[in-house]
Order: sequence, then structure tokens, then C-alpha cells
Amino acid sequence: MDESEFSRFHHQTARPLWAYLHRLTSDPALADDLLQEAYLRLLRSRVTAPDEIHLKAYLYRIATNLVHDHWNRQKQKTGYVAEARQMAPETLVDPTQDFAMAQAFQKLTLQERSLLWLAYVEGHLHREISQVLHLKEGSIRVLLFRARRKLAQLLQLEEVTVPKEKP
Amino acid sequence: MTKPCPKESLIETACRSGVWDEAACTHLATCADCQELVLVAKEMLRFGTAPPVPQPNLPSAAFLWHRAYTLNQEEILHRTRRWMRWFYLAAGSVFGVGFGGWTWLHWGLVKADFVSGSQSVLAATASNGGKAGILLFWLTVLLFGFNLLWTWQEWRGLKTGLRAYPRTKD
Repeated sequence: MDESEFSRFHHQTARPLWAYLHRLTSDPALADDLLQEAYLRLLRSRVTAPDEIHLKAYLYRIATNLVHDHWNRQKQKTGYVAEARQMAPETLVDPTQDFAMAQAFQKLTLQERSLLWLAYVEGHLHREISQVLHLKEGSIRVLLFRARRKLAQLLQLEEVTVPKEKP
Repeated sequence: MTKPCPKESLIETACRSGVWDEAACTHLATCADCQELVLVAKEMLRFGTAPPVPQPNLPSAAFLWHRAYTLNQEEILHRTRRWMRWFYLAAGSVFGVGFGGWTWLHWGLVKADFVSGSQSVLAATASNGGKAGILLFWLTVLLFGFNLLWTWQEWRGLKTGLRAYPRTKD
């Protein structure tokens, strides 16, 4: 990868990756730091990915590992995992938007947050999610189902409108 | 239900593509789990695409590129310095053994001067024509001294936080 290729890749992935890290950590400053570290590790690893999809999956894998490492260090230092800490409402979402969703998302575990984000925001396939999260591809379906159910219960989702058929 | 719906992938594909065929619509109308999937997917997409209030402080691609380059150069330098230290240590040991060996081989002469003339082993070695032995001795001192100085400098750097390697923030 040369500098111009990296520049294009960075332009495409930086904001979504920051959003992912921000939602996982609930800390904008930490998300900034981890994002920078993730890109540096990607560049220094000199990984040769066949295409940008694989490279993106690799970047998300690095970022997810960095978040896990951060929580583990926090746990070693303080003796508890601070991942479920409550942030000030203004740091989570725009107050005009659904605050309930942000609060519910905070109550999920790190793995559940990653699963739901990668599946429904990033639109990754189960195979890609398994690569990012170091999980078996076969177990993604069940884990995603449980995470979905937990979030639905937290949000108390009940109604659904069946979409009209599109050609 | 405690297990995911077997037709979940059909609904997931429809959610991802936005194309709902007849089979997906019919199944969705009757499956509570898949209805839940659609709701959660919608909520997540809405949540994920909402702009966060604190704006990201994104580093530029050029900065990251050059930072990675600098870190790589530092790593190469660090690796080279480590090998050099080992080399100095090994060379110092070899010269030390050489000096010791030479003195041992010529101990008869060295001892005579050492005892009678109250000279040091070093002076006794020199007076017996052991230029090679003296050279080995000073090379040993020089290499070990250089290594010690290097270690001290690195220790001082660690103490003052001036590491050769910037570590990630805790």
C-alpha cells in the first residue's frame, strides 16, 4: 500500500471507525487515541490484503483488540471493568435524537455492541464479523440473536410494519 | 423462541439490500423473531448513522503515514542498537578471555616480576613483552565501559521518560 492508497482508505474508513470506537468506549477522547493507534498498527504490520474489504476487516479487528486491551488494563488497574459506566448524556448522542437507544446500547456487553454494530451499521457478513471478533462463524448467528433479543428487551420494541414487496 | 429463526438469513439479506421479495415479506408477517430482527436493524442503523455531538478529532492520513514511517525507523534503530550491544559484550568477553589466557600462559614470567618488583599484573605483563595482552586488556575495558555507559544512558532515558520507543497510552 502506498501513501495515496492509504489516504483513500483512510478517507473511507476513518469516520465509521471512529463512530464504532466511540460507541464501544463511550469516550470521544479515547476513541481518538484508539483510532490513531489502530491505523499506526495497520501501517506497521505491512499486511497484504487482497482487497479493501479484507483490509477494513483487519483494521476493525485491530481496533476491537485495542478496545479489549484497554478494558483489560483498566480492569488490572482498578479491579473492575468500567465498560458499563454511564456517560454524560451530551457525550453520547445528539439530545434531539433517541437517547433511550444510547442508554440501552450502553447496557450491552462489549461483544454484543460490536456484534450489533458490525452486523447492522457496517453491514458486515457473519464471516467478516467472525474474523473481526475472533469468533467461530457458526456461533455468530446465535450470539447475534441473543444480542438482538437483549437490545429489543431493553428498548421494549414491539411493533413492526411488514415492508411492501419490492421487485 | 430461544434459537434463531432458520430463515433469518433471508430477512438479513433483505434488510441489507433493501429488496423485499415475496418470500421475505410472507415470512416476516408470521415470524416474531424476524420482526424483532428488522426492528433492531432499523434502530441500529438510525443510531449508527446519527452524528455524534463531540466531533471526532481525526488525524490526517499524511500524519499517520509519516508517524508510522518514523516508528518503523526507530524500531530498526532500536534493533540495530540491541545487536550492537550484544556484539560489544561478546567481543569484550572474548578479549577478556584472551588477556586472561595470555597471562596464564606466561604466568611464570609475570609472577617473577609481580612478586620481586612489586608491580601490578598489568605492569608485569607489559614488562614481559606482552603487548598483545595489554591490548586485549584495554579493549576489554573499553568495550565493557562503552556497554556500561550505554546501559546507564538508556536507564536514565527510561527514568526521565525519554524512551527510544514511544509506547501506547494506558
